[in-house]
Order: sequence, then structure tokens, then C-alpha cells
Amino acid sequence: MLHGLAPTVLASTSWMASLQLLRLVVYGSLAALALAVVVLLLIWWHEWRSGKAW
Amino acid sequence: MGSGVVTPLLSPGIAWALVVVFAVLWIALGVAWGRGGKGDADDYMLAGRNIGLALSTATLMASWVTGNTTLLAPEFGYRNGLWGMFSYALAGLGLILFAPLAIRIKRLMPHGRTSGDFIRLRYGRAAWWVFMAITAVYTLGFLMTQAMGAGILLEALSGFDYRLGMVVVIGVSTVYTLYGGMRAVVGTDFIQSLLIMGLLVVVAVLAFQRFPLELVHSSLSASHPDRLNLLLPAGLLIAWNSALFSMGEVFHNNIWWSRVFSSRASVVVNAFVLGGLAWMTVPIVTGSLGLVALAQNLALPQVNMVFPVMASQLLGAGGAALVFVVVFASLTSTLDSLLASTADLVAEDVVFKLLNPQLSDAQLRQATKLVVVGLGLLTLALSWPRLDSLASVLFFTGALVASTVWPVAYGLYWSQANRHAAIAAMLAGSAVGLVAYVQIAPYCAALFSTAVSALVMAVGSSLRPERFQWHLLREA
Repeated sequence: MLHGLAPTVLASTSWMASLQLLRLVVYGSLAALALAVVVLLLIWWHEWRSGKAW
Repeated sequence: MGSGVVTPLLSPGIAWALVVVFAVLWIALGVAWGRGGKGDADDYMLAGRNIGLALSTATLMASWVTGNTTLLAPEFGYRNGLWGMFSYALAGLGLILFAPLAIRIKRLMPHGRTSGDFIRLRYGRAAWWVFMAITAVYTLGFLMTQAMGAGILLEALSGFDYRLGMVVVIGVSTVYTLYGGMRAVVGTDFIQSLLIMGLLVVVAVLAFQRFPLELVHSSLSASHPDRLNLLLPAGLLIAWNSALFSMGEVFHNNIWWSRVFSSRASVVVNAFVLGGLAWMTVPIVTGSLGLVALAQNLALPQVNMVFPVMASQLLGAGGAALVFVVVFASLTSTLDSLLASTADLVAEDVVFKLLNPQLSDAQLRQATKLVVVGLGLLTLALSWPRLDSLASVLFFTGALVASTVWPVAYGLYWSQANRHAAIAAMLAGSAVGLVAYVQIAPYCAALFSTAVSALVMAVGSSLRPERFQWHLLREA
């Protein structure tokens, strides 16, 4: 049922992502992923030095 | 997945060198870490119950980044654009929403070992059987998709025979899990998660240097504007289903419960929140590479090979090698977690609590090791005949696992939650979810299953409230 409805609804609604929004989503995620690597390493370093890694 | 790739993206020599290097590294580290600790069953099954924030977050990340996350998410981006990426990323909500439940579990069950322990003590043996049936179907499906994914991917990337690639990945994961137990899994997961995240950043940065986002946007606006459309009603449904499916997966499966029991109480909430947030960036980044491939009109032998084909075309043999390492790390980190946590569940719930309650600590540890080997062999046997449509079978299980969300959540917080209602909720939710999967659309299954099980659980427990004594959970 929803398979049949979806194309009709899709055809009538649209909100295109601007270049700025696409940049925010993609570069923001990329920066967050890189940050996650750094944060994980820093936490591990701190815990390892204080004997709390395991 | 079909077998349409004729030319491998990576020369077999380089692929073999990478396999040997990482296989030796994982096994050596796993064996070394396994020698640490007290050597009892708790140490083998739960790494001593004292993992810190870094290792806990990393093992959640690495286990949740499956072969699907690195290959299916780019396909989602390629096929469905921004909504495909968002809907995949919403699966990270499962980890984040489990955070408050995780600390509650840790406090209620300080000696608990498995999700099965909770269901058995909270709702009784009958509910436990239903729960175990659901988790068995899901876990076997999950193991098989990872094993088959390994065979198919290594074949496509490097020309390995399907069965050889599968044997290599399952063999390596089984060996270091067998010798090192949960310590080996958590330790290797830490390195694997850093490898996956770091190399994905490198591949994405290089890809966007070669083909800037401005070009992607202008090309998609001209030729595929639907991929940039943020108002997709079907996309919203798919996103909701993805979030609920992931909640079902995380709330019921022992992969995540074993991480709760393994981690220190002081870090468990932060680990699930950080792990979930960090994980959500992975499908967005890999999905955006699908957009690059679409904007470039890249010729694809099969659509689920978007990521490796795009990386090798943009970055040459080095790109293919990076993808190989990312995929190999994703597969081994998920398989080791599945093997270890499922072995814990079978050894603790079936061998120990059901069949032989007189088992000593050393015998339980030995039983867990035997189950690790048995599971590795079973996965190999079930995945030996190549079934290309298995991914849809795994999606089918969304209807089953979503039905466990409310019995678990209510059971942890609401003393009136009734055991008969829990059984009815899991059965009714699964049945309605499966009907919705077949009759309406696959992306409605988890939605219907969760809604029905919530209703049955709430009405059943209100009509015949139970008076559960929380201290009973401490017996686990």
C-alpha cells in the first residue's frame, strides 16, 4: 500500500539541500570522526597512565 | 550480492600480505592479552568486569561497525542520497538510548553475565525460551551475513576464492577469541576501531580533494536532484525503522549486555553515548562517498561495491588497500564480538544454568571456549553454500528483535511488568512485524513490532500487575 502511495507524495514535496548544508553534514561528520579518533586516544593515554585502562 | 566482479581491485599478493600481517597481529595480541587477568570464568567471559572508558567506547564502536556499515551505507547514499545516509546513521540511536538502561543493568545485576540471565530471573523460564529463540535466529543470521560478506568481499577486492576468504576471516577471529576471550576481543577492537575511523578519514579527505563537494552538489542537482531532497516521507519511515531495528538489536543482544557487564560502572553510560555518537558519523562519511560515486557516474559492477570501486578509481591501488584494511577490520571486529558474546550466552544460560548447574568455574571457562570453537565451525558450515540473498533475511529479523525492546525496558524499570505480558508482547510484536514486512513494506516491520509489543506489555501489566522484587536479579 505504502509502495503505491510513496511516488505520488514524493513527486509533490521537495526541499533541496543547499551546498552549505551538504558541506555542514559531510565535513561536520568527517571532522567529528577525526575528533573521535583523537579523543579515544587521549582517553586511553590518560587511563593507561593511571592504570585504569582495564 | 552477486558475483559480477571480474577484475579484482587489489593484486592477490598485496591482499595476502595484508591478511598475513593483520592475522598475525590480532592473534599475537589476543593471546598476549588473554594471559592477563585472574584466569577465572569472569575474566575470560567479561575481561574482569573493569574495562575503562577508552576500551569500552572503542569496543562498542568496532562491534557496531560491521561489514554492512562500510559497504551498505555507501550504497544507501548512492541509491537514496541524504536520507539514505541519515537513516543508516540513526542506527547509532540504539547505542545511545541503551546508555541509561546499561547503568540500571549494572546496578541491578552486579554479578550478571548475559541478557538471558536477566530475562530468566525477571520473567521466568517460559519467557526465556521465547527470548532465546529470537536471539538465536538473529545471531545466526548476523554471523552468517558477516561470514558470507567476508567471502564475497575478499573475492571481489582481491580475487580470493569465496570459501578461502571466509575461512581466513572466521579462522582468525575464532583463534584469537578462543585464546584471549573477552580481553582479546576488547583489546583488538580498540585497535580495529582506530584503524577503521582513521583510514575512513584518510580515504574521505583524499576523495574530496580529488572530487570536491561543490562538484558533487552541482552534479547531483543537475542529474539526481532527488538524492538531495530533504522532504522524503518514505525516507522518514525508513529512518524510524532503522532506529527501532537498531534499538531491538542492541536492547536484546548479548553483544551489548556483555559490554555492560565488562565495563566499570563509572564509565558505562559515557561509553554507550560516546560510542553511539562516534558511530553515527561513519555511515554519513561512507554514505557521502556513495554520493561522490553517483556524481562521477562511476561504472559499478554491483552497487554494493560503491566504496571499494570509488576508492580504487580515485586513489589507485593504495585506495583499494586502505579499503581492504577497513573492511577486514570491520568484519573481524564484529565476528569476534559475536563469537565471544554468543559463547558467553550459550555457556552461561544453556550449559551452566539449564543443563549443569554444578559446573565449576574452570569447567564453565572450558565450556565457553568449546562453544567459541563450535560457533566458528557452525558459522563456517552454514555459510559454506553461498546464499546471495541473506541480507534480506537479516532485515527480516528486525520484526523479531524489535519486539524485545519494551519487555527489556519495562522489565528494568517497572516492577509491575508482567511475565505473561512479556511473552505475549514478544510473540504478538514478532507476528505483526512479520505480517507488516510481507504485506506493507520491509521498512515498516520494526515500527509495527515495537508498537504492538509496547501496547501488549503496557495493557497486560496494567491489568495484572506483578510485584517483582528487584533483589532477585542480584542472584545472577
